[in-house]
Amino acid sequence: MRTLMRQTALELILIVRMRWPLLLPPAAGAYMWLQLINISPTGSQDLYLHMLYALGRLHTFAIGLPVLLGILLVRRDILHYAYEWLRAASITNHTFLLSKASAGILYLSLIPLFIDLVYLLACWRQGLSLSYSWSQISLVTVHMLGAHAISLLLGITLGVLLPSRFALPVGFCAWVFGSVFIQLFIVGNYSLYPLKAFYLNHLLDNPFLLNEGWLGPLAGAELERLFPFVLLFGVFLLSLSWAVLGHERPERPRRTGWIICLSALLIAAAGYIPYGQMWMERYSSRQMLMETSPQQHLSRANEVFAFEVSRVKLDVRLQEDESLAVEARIEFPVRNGRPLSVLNAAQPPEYREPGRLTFLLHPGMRIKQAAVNGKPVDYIRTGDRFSIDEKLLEPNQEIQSVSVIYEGQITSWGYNGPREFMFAFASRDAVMLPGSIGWYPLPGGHSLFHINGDQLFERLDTTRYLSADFDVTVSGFGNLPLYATLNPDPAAPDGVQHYSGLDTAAFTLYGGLFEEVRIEGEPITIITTGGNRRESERFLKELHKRRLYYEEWLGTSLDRIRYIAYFPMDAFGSRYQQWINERTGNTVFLGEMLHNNLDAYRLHTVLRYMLFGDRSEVSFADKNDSAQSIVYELRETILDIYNIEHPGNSRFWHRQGMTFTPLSGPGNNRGGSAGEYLSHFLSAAAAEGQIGRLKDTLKHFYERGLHIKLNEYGGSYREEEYNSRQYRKITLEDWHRVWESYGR
Amino acid sequence: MKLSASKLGKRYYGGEWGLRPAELHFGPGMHGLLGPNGAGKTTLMRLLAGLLRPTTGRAELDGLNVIHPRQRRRIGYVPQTFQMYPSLTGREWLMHRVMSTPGKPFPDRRQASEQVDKVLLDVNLTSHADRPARTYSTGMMKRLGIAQAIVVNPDVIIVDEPTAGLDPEERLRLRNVLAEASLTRIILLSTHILSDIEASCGSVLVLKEGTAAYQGNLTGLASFAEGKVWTWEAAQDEWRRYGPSRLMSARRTEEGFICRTLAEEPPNRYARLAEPSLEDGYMALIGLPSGGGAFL
Repeated sequence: MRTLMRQTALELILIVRMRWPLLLPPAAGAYMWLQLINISPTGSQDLYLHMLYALGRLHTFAIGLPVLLGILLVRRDILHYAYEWLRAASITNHTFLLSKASAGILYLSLIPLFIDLVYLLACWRQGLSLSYSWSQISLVTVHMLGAHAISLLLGITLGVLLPSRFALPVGFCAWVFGSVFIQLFIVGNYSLYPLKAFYLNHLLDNPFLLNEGWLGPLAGAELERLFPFVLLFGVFLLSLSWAVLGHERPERPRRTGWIICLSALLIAAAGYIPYGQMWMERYSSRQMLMETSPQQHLSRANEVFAFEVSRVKLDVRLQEDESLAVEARIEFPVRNGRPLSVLNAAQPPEYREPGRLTFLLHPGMRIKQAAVNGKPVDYIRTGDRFSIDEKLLEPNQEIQSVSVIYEGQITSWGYNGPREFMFAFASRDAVMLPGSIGWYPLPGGHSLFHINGDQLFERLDTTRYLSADFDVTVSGFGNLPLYATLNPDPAAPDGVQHYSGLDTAAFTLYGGLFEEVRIEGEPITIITTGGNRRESERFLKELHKRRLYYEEWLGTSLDRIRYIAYFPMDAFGSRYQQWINERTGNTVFLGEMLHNNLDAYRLHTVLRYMLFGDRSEVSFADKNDSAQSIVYELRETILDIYNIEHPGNSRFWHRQGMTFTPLSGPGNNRGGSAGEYLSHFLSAAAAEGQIGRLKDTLKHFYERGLHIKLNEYGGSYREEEYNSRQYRKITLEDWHRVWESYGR
Repeated sequence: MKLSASKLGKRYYGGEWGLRPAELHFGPGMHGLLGPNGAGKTTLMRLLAGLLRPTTGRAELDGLNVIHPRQRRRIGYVPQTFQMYPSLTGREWLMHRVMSTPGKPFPDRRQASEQVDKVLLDVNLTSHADRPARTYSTGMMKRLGIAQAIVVNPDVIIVDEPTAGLDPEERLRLRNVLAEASLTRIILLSTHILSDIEASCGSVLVLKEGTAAYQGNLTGLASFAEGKVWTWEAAQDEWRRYGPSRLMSARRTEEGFICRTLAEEPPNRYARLAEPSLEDGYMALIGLPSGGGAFL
């Protein structure tokens, strides 16, 4: 040990005296500093997100350093012909290798050290506590250390195996392969995600790392399983180097080296087993979803089969093995013994199975018992649904109920080309259970997922027409802060959380290491990560001012929204875009992105939800057809009038000009004239002191409803039909008529 | 103390023998190692130093295989080409060498430092000891090579052409250092400079085409030329006619050249038998290709 320590110290001195390596850690820190101090006000203010993206880029290049260093460390002396004398030194081969590895790792740890120091300093400047900041960066630091160590050992092994003239180019290829190529071209193209074990860089485009609130359960759990393998593989590389070095500098019988090397390889392979098992579980879970899901072109719209539900009662418990155990009771109205279609309450929906009521339920859930109106009944479980004989309903009962007790693993992994994600996950450290994924029975419906090629997508329409009274009890998550798209009741002391809501949409449950950001007087709470606290407070202040303005003007309480969930949503959903500005129940999900933040666009999105109940930004006006509706333009004018009345307000919160997205048809100028006309109208009214009249006119239309609703799909299920909408028809003529009426 | 080799041989890839199986024995003292280029000297030295795994047989130091890691601190090796970490000073490296040697030959730092000072003095590097090795001349580097080999007091020192490229004064100093070290150690000195062998070694090993052609004292080697060394005085025309390449030496005089050659028969009627030197014996043993002028 004494010799090893002395030799390590010598190797460190030699690295230090090379001088150039000393420049690199401060340079890495300086790069990070530049990334963190110059954050654009129009981008996310989350330091963690900026650090992670910057680190992804930096690490891609920096990981070449350990490979190069590893080659140099062995090729500059012990295997250099002019240092043959050193082979006669009384230092064993393994001491040589271990000292080089130790010194290299110690030196390379300076890079994460500088980065961490810079990050902690930047966080401290932003008022974040050191303990919180450290908890954010610790996993990334461990990954960097591990990646540097294994890359160094790879370099040492290449250096031992090959002469410099070959080791250096092969090392270069190994760097490119491990840091970029394998993930972009092999794993991405061929979906061979178990090969992630051989990534040298997990920081590049890793959606599981982006959300610091879910860091541990998503990225952490995976790296935790990977780390023993990396460690053991590192030992194998060292033993391989040792065995090969034994040829150049014999110490023991040659066979001994190779036996140890082979043993290390087998142990490393054994170390892969837990990681491999994780992937087997993920792939088999995905395969199960694939087998139970139809091809997209064979999918039919869910609402065709969906029926109305009056009440959903759920008792959800996270079990010891982090599976869900649920007792669900679904109450639904019937007419003539048949449920009511969500599309037309006068008639029943289409049945997927003749004479049987079907519910969609995630295939991972195993039903233990089903009951109709409290009486146990037989059921048929088929793929992603279960069905009950319609005849089991009480003939003379208006409201029927189906109860079902089930349990299973809801955590479902998926990928879409090079992007991996979770459809849903539940653990004691994080949970995301989108209401549309079928973790509780969804009435009717065609399927939860559909397949396109070899890709699996969750369907976006499973809960479009679901509206019921919800009563949900959640337990088993310990101290994990839980949030939902329903209003919570005060938590019981034993961690049981209760949520309820009347006539509300699908129930989404989520939780993680998030913070609740509130300001005095504003009923909306932002659920976000610690790094977004300041930005969220600023956003809430502006939102509150506008709330007061609109509530006073319009004389109504804008209480549709209670929560804004603002954090990176990249980790879940096959199409994470759907969560960028999405509303479920009382919550607006604002996906955090590096180059977008809680800015004017997000503010107006939330305001649209608060004022109109939707966020549609589609114009229906047509400058060549004055009979078309100007509903969109009216909504936008309502949003803009605040700025007219508050000219001193920061331009930062000004919405960009009215967007005119043509619905269809030729030309790209549809809708142009009505918006411009109303904009001018607004300016002119302000100039002429007729704002009051303008507000009265707008209020007139607001009170009659400016909601824009997505239309049903009808027969086949095609998501591109999103532009089919329901809205009030308000023409320019209507506008002038009302305007004139307020002028009298 | 005994360094021995039993059937020690090394065959390289392709089947060519670098050293044919040989039985060798070395006791304390300085032993010369001679042989033409490619004869297997370096292979033998590396085998004896435990740096090369033999194809046949084994080398032992006091009965234990030299490949064993424990033997490393007992054998010092100085190859012909020697480079040193350019950023380290001579003293730093020697201190590290001493302090990191297992078994604590010098129990504390003070004793280690004294040993380093002594060795630096022996090799005349004291005044440069604290300068980075990148500033050392070739000769200083050679001396540092010797110093790193002897600083841990090994039982065996194997030195490959240590005096090549050194000025006479340095050669003498180095020779004396090795001579002093040989009083208590086995020193194997490979060189092409026969005078170094003559001046320092008690015995010599001659390798020829991978085979140990001779191991014994110097007189024994010289005796290979007994009755074969001829000398005569030749005029310039005669010297030219005979061919300078066939001569061991030709010293110019006022009247021509005093020639000396090796031959079984007198090269001419004026030639007289002369007393063989070590060089004569060596040349007689290994011979030379005929194209270059065979002596025998």
